[in-house]
Formats: sequence, structure tokens, C-alpha cells
Amino acid sequence: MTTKKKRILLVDDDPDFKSAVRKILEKGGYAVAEARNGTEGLAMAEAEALDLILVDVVMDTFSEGFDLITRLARSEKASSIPRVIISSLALVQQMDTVHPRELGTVQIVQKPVSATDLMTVVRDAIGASAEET
Amino acid sequence: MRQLDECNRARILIIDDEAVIREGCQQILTDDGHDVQVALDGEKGIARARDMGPEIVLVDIRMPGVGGLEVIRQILTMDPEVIPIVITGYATVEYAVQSIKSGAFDFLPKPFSPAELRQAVRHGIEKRRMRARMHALDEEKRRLTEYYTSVVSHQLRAPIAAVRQNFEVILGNMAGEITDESREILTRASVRLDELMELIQDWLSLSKLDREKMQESFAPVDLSALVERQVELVGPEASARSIRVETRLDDDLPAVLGSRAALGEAVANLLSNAVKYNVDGGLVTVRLASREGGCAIEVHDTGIGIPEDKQELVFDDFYRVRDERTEGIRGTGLGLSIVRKIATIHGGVADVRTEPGAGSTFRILLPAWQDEHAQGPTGSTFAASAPEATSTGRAEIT
Repeated sequence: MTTKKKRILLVDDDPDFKSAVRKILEKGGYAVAEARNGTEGLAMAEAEALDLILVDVVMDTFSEGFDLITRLARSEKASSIPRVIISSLALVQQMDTVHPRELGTVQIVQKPVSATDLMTVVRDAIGASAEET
Repeated sequence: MRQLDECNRARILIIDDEAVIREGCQQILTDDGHDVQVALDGEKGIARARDMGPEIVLVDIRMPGVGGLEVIRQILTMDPEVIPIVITGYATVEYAVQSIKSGAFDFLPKPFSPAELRQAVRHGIEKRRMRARMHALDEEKRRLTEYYTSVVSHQLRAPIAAVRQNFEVILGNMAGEITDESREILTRASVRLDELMELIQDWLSLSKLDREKMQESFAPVDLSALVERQVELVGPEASARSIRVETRLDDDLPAVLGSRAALGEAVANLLSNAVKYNVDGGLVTVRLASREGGCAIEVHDTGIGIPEDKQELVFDDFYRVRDERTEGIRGTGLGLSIVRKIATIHGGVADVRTEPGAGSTFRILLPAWQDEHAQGPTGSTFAASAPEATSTGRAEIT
């Protein structure tokens, strides 16, 4: 049986981190696209068929990832693609007070992340959006 | 009539039982363009101040009924930014000193000329303006420090995260099979990197603990729910070493005002220590109880205990008890500093009772909060170990 591979966009300015995450996702059976910043990420999200977008927060500016997520949520073409924040900011420690939904994402992941946890988050995020549509 | 521009105009309240002075000052200052109101005695003056919110108050020191110094005290309690200027016929050094001690900014001995009055008022306005500028600068400094701390912490974390993520790939054999020895070395290296991440996190937490900012977010906290949540979070770490975590939450606990996030972090640190320094198969008991008129969070462990001469030191930044029994236990040495700082900001205390070899009980004692309509004494503080703990959350909400 051959199903088309799910495609994940990775928006992050750190090439070393990106290449590690790419490896993990590819091993898990996903196709991976990469963007270096918010502008590139938005353009790719609007132009390509994607199943999930993983967004880093601090890129060229301190809040670039948050800005991208806001723009993605408002985008006619890309708003239905699920978004997950993946950042080394201590966001997870504040999860008691901030809900991912308030940030326009389905999940927040703290860098670094174990391969198992990453796969679970990715599967859940793609699965949840498939159920909604 | 002299016209003053907006920033040199003030709301002024004159409180004096002597009609000549009262009306004379009112005439001069109104003509100058100020917004002036008057009151005939102390009691009326306080009521008027409550209504108009003056920027400057001229108060006669000797009045029947409530005296001038008491009036100043009460008005400053309502609004600490008010500039009080004392008017008196008894121009002695003692009076001047007493006035200034009560919070007066300036002193006008009778009789005074219109020029002297104007000068005192002008100085008062300048003082207010300088104070406002100082507040703005303090706020800016706080904002910059916080921003800087966040940036530095992120810049430190990002490269560690990248390295650690690549270890994850190698350890998962995603870049080819590795030998057992390589795996062992890389696993140890990963642990060290994780510890470094934790250290940065703790350091960030500690630098971000800003008293005023935290107190601004104070709200009634459901400590039972908070404790239960933290017990749930420490569960996996505890059961990995067969340590049981029991909770005993008393009913009828006094209400507590505070920051949910900060208190959650403090309890998390105590629980994590209680597990880390426990024996395998040991017990952690978390107790919420009414103590000394406040509410206590007590975390007891059946661990190694702390030598008597080290008991106060464990609350110091970066201090860790080092002997053969703690050798394998990792930590940043900041956890308890964070706990104590959070307790202090809440007007409470953090302390420990311990017997070497028989475990320790760490405690956070928080003052009870009673809202304005409640009976009985108002919020108190436990200032045993914290001289600066006199400002409680209560003050923020009244």
C-alpha cells in the first residue's frame, strides 16, 4: 500500500537544529521542507501543499515566530494547516498560565525534544486537523 | 491673571481653619491658573482630598479636630504621590523636622508672601514632575533588564538545544548504528547538556522574580488545586524510584493571595528536591495546613536530611550540600533560593526542619488574606527571615 507522504514545513533559522529535526521526521516517514525565516515560511505555506508547520520563535527578530503564526492564522490559503511552536524559549514552563490555543497553535514544544515526543506531537497535530476537516 | 501652561498647573487643596490664610491662598493660586479647592478642617480636608485627588495639599498644622500631621499621613496613605506643604504659625525647627518626618515636602511659616507661596507650589510641581520621570525611568530599566535577561537566556539555550537535538539523532541510530561505548559517552554528555539547560532556566527564573511585577498579578490562589497539580507533575520522577507521594490537604484553609505561576514553581522545586534527596522506595508527604494564622505548604521527605550547620545555607544561591551521600545527585543550587524569594515576595517565609538521616520538612508559610469586607485582622506578614517582607499582596488590592 502506498500513501502519499505527509509534508511538514520547518521554519527555523538554526541549520544545525533543522538538520537534526529533518532526520527525525524523515525517519518517521514524513517529507520535510525548510524555511529560514518568517517571510520565507509564509510564502512557502501559501504556495505548497503542507500537512503541518513547525515554527521556531526567535529568528531574525525576537518574536518572528509569533508574528508568522499570526499571519498564517489570517492567511486564506494557509490558515487550515496546523501549526506547532518549537522553541528553546521557556514557554512550556509557563503552560499553566498560557494555553497553546491563545498563541494560535495546537502545541508548544520545548527544544531540544526527544524523537519519541516529537513524533507523538506531529502525529497528534496532523491527526487532529484531519479529524476537523 | 497669570496664565500657566498645562504642565505648570496643579490641582491644589488648601486645608486651614483660618479664613484669611485659606481665602488669601485660594485667591492667589486661582489667579495663577491652578485648580484650587479649600477645606475648613482636617476631617473635611481628608474627605475633599478623596473626591478631588489633589496633586499638592497645603495643610495648616494646628487645627481643631484632626491635626495637620495626621491629615498628611492619611492623605499620603490614599495617594503617596501627593505633595504636602505645611503651613504653620509655629515656625520652630522642631515643627519643621516633625512635618518633614510626617511626609511634608515643604514648610511655609506664617506670615508668608504671595511670592513665597508661589515658590513653594512651583517647587512642589517640579518635585512631582521629577518623581514621574523617575518612575518612568525605573519602569524602563525594569523592562530592559527583563528583555535583556530573556535574550541572553535564549542565546545561551539555542546552541545547546541544537547540539542536544543532534545527539538525539545519533543516539536514535538515525545517522547509522553506534557502538555501546559511543552511546554511553553521548548519553553522559547529553545529561550534562540537560543540566546546563536547567541551570539557565533557574537563573532566568531567579532574575525574573520581580517583586512589584509579581505583586501586580496577585489574585486569590487555590492552594489545594495548585499542590495537587504539582504532585501530579512530579509523579513520573517519583515512581521511577518507587517513591510514594502523599498529600494531606486540610479543610478550612485561610485564603491566600499570590501569583499562581510563582507559587506553582516554588512547590515544584520543593517536590523535586524531596524526590531527589530521598531514598529509593521512600515517602514524600505534602501537607497544606493552617499555621500561625497563615497557610503552610509543608513538604516532608524521608531522605538523607541536612546537617545542622548547613540548614540556613541551603537557601543561598548556588549552595549545595556536598558529601558522599549527595555525590550522584544533580542540581543547579538555585531551587531553594527561588523558593525563598517567591515566599518573601508573598510576605511569607521559607524554612526547613531536618534531622540528618531522618529526612527534612521544607515549609512555605504564607500570610492569610482577608478581603476588605471580611472581619478580623487584615493580612499580616511573616517577616522572621525577610526584613523587606513588610509589603504584602494586600496592599496592592486595597
